[in-house]
Amino acid sequence: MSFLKTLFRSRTKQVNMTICGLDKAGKTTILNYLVRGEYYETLPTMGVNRDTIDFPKLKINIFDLGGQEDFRGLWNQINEKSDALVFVVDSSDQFRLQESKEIFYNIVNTQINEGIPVLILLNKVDIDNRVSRAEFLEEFELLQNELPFSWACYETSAKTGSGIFDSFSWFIQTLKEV
Amino acid sequence: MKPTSMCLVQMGNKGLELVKSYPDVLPQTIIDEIVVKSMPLGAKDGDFTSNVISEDNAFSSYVFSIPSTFGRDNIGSLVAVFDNTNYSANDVRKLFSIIISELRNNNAVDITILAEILPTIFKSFGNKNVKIKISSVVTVEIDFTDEEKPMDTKEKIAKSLSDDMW
Repeated sequence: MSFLKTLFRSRTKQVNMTICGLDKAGKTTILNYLVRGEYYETLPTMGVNRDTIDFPKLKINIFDLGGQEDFRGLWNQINEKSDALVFVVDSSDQFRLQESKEIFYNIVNTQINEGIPVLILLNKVDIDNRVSRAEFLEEFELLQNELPFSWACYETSAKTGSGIFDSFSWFIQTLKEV
Repeated sequence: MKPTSMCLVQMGNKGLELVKSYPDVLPQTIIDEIVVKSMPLGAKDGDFTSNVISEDNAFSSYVFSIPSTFGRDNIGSLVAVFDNTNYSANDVRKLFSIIISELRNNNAVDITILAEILPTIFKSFGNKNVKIKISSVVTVEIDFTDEEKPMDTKEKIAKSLSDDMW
């Protein structure tokens, strides 16, 4: 019986996923939406929030990392053990796009393992006066650069749930194939 | 059980930051340590923590959420710093949780209000009755005597007898 259990368990793939991005980008709200399926008010993350989602044959350990400058020193240790990265950008905060871009390239160039899938979420699309997906791709130079990993960029709102399902469907499918 | 100082800490743009300390008597190195340790990793609304700092100092802190009318709510902590470890952390927890709860009932959990009333909270340590003026018209009154009603002699004898029997 225990042999069968071991065999069954071994068929469930387990992956570690980190959620990074600037403070107030909506990382914890996205995590809450993924886990509970609805919007919840959040408080600033004190370091790391950890949660797990079980899919058939896939278990995802999620590490939601606090975005404040003082917590960014923790990111490297967690990102280097990660199998997948979600990078969240606040589409309504155009003043911090450059800061967000610098952090993104710092993570993908120095912290994550080669070849892991990267999901970029252009969050808070429910807010007016935001940057569009096309403008964002241009600003982040994602199409110009030859990036050594598979990536996708989706517009999301963790408040309304818009785009969350589509973006993570792509991500989960990619994770199952890796 | 008077603290040597009290601190108010909140999450700022870059990380945790001191809003105010009263009285302002603590060395910067101690303040820096308190700011980081008063809200440990994973801290959330309602958490209470006690810790020793440097050789003889200790502190207890109470974490609470700070509602915001725009954007998301923030997180902060009230900290009492002592020059010894012989204080009752439970009493500090009770005082802080009741103060925050009363302020919450009056929609007054606001960092500016908390900074203003910090000296009153400092002076209220050890008192059975605390009056905190939060605006020109609202005064929060907290009576701790109800919480710790002393047992009368008959009750004491009955409890002692019951303890002996069991």
